[in-house]
This record gives sequence, structure tokens and C-alpha cells, in this order.
Amino acid sequence: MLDPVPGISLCPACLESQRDRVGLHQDRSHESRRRALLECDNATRHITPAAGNLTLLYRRGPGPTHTLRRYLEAYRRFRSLPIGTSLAQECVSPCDSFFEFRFGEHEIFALRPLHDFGCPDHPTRVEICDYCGVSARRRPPPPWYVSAMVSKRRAGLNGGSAAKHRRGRSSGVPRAKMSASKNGISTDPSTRTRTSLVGMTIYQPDLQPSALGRKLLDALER
Amino acid sequence: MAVGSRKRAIPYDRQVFLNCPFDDAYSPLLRAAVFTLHACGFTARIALENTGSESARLDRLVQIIGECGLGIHDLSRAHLTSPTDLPRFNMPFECGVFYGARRFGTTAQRRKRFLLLDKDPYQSQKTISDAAGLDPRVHGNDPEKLIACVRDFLAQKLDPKPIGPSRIAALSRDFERALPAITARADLTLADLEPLTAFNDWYLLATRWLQPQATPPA
Repeated sequence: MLDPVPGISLCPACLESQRDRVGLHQDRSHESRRRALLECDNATRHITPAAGNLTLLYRRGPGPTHTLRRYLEAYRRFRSLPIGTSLAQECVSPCDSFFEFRFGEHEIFALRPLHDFGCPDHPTRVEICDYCGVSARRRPPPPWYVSAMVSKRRAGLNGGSAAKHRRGRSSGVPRAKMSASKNGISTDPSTRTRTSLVGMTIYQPDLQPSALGRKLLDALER
Repeated sequence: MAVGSRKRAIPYDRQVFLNCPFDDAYSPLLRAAVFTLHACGFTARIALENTGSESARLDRLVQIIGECGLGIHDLSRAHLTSPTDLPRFNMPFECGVFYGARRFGTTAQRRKRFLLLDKDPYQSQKTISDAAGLDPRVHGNDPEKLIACVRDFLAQKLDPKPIGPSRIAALSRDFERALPAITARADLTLADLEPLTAFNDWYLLATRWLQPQATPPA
């Protein structure tokens, strides 16, 4: 079990024994959310609604660990935390930011502000604060949130505006669509064909020319 | 030839072991295959190359096979040859060595890819039925068909793909047309390049001729 984080008051519910887990997707009522927040898990014990505009998104199953690691690393750098800092404690900061933490082997907890720019995995979800009742309102992203951190899925669903800044493909156009044009000729760069030898490496055989060969090569040079 | 220097200069995946007959009838096909390999950015390794080594012929072949990531095996010459009226087993044997390296070799050797060539469809089913499923490509003794077979094989793992087979064939014809002028400037004739012993000189000349084609204009 993690140590309490200074400055954050523990919810009395944390002291209760293990409860059945309640996913937020099942019941979005205030009490259910509160219970979900406070469900007895080592990681969630110390995340309390006392911090303010915070919510806890709870999901089961494998999650986007790659994206998650980038969020965590960016947040650690933003806060100038030394490498190895327990981010499980940092997650209780009254942040106006967005970050996710994974606790345990198969559980993903996403901690993020309400009224914010949404979850990369649920971009169409309308966010309403269960605690203050304020409906979704877009805020500027926090300074540590860089555009490259937008997940591929979100970028694709948003029409590719962020995707064009990514390496590789220039837009969110699906690969299958890119590779087949109207006349059936492939336009996918991965299947492009050279039209000339220009720029190619022509390897020269490591052979010793005979006298006849030397004469021919001299003639070619002339 | 210093084999070691070749190995350093040319990547393993760009060296192609060309296992084919060396006779006058096959000469146009051999030249077409070598030309195609170089026009696609590869290099041909053949048993004819003068290694300068005193080792046995088989050892040299094994060494070449070990240095090549790709192999092209033409198994079309399965008929009896005069004057002995016996078939020659060199190509199938070398193909087997190549396959063995691929099957039992190191990690790099297991990356080997190869292409089987035949003259007629289904010929290999009669001559080498153990190779069933390897789908030999058929060239029908036509250099242009051979160019297409070789080019398509090489293009499989390339991005961008090399120039098309018709373009390679056109380049090859351009080179053949330029040859008389080149030999004339060297006080030679085309007949001097015909014998098999002059193949290496033709090979050097062809690759040297291709070089400016790949150089961007200033």
C-alpha cells in the first residue's frame, strides 16, 4: 500500500474494506463515481475528489501502455521530477492536466481534468464534472502536453489534423484507401517503382580485367 | 580477387549467386541476367569470376554461396550433352548447396532467398520433383522473359521497386548497340567478346556502362 500524499486528505471511504469495483461506464451518478474513485485499490486509495477537478477513469484490460509511458515521462519532465519518482503519488496533484497511470498488471487508470480536451481513447465523449456540474469546456492544453502525444486513434478520428505532423503518412487516410486509386494503379509510396536508374547504386564487380578488358574500358572512357 | 574486400563493399543482401550453364547457347541469357541484376542495384556472383584463389573449385563456389543473400538457379539444362551423352549435374548440385546453407546455416544464411528458373513449364516436375512447390519461373530461352523473371524476383523486397523489365530490356539493347562502337575504338571486334573467356571483360564493361545512367545530371 502506498503512503498517503502530504496535502491531500484521504477520503473516509478509503479506510473501508475492499469493495466491489464499479466501472464509471456502468453508472455515472455522483455516488457511483465516488465509490469508483474510492474503490479499494492500492493505487486509488489516495486519489480523492478533494483535489478538485479530477476524475478517475477506470478501465479493465490491457491499455495503451506506449502512450501511457509517454504521458508519464512528459509529466515527470514537466514537474522536473527525478527519474524513478513514484508517479503514483504525483497523480494526486490538483492538476489541470491530463495523465494516466497504470497500477498493477492489467488495470489502467486515467486521471484527467474535467472540462478538458477529452480522453484520447474516447474523443467523442462529453465530459461533465460530476462534482461541480460544469459541462465540457475546452481549455488550452497544459504546457507539458505536446501535440505528438495525441494518440494515433484520436488523431485519426479528428480528421487527421494532428496526423499530418506525425512521421510517416501525411494524413489519416486509411492505408487501404491510399494504396488503391481509381484506375487501380497503386499510389502507395511503399509500392512505387523507379522510372530510371538515376540515384541507384550500380555495384561494380570485383574482377580484374584482362588486357582485352582494359582496352575496352579505356575505349569506353574515351 | 580479394573476396574479403568485396564482402565489405557490397552488402550481403545485394549479392546474387547466379547458378546457370556456361555455354555459348546460354550466353545471351547469362548476359541478360547479369545486366538485370546490376540494373536493379545488385551484383552477380558467378563461378566464372576469377577469384585468384588456388583453392578447389567447389570451395570457391561454397565461399561465393556463403557471401550471397540471394540465388538464381537455372535448372533448364537437364538434357544430355555431347560428346559424352551424359547430363551435367552442376546446377542442381549448387542449388542443393545453396538450399542447404539456407536450411542449416547461421541466421544470416537463413535469410537467403532464391529463384528457380526453367525453360518450359512443368519441366522441373519431371527432372527434380523434390523441388515441388518452389514454383520455378519459366523463361523459354528468351532473354526478355528472363529479364522479367529476375527483375520481379529482385523487386519483391525492394522499396522503391527497380525499373520495369521492359526498361531494363531497352537499356540492354542500348548497350548492345553501343558495343560495336566501343570495340571499334579499342581496335577489337564483337567476335572478341564472344568466347566465354571474355565474359568477365563483358561483365566489367556492362557495369561500367551502366554507371553513368545512374548518375544524376550535373
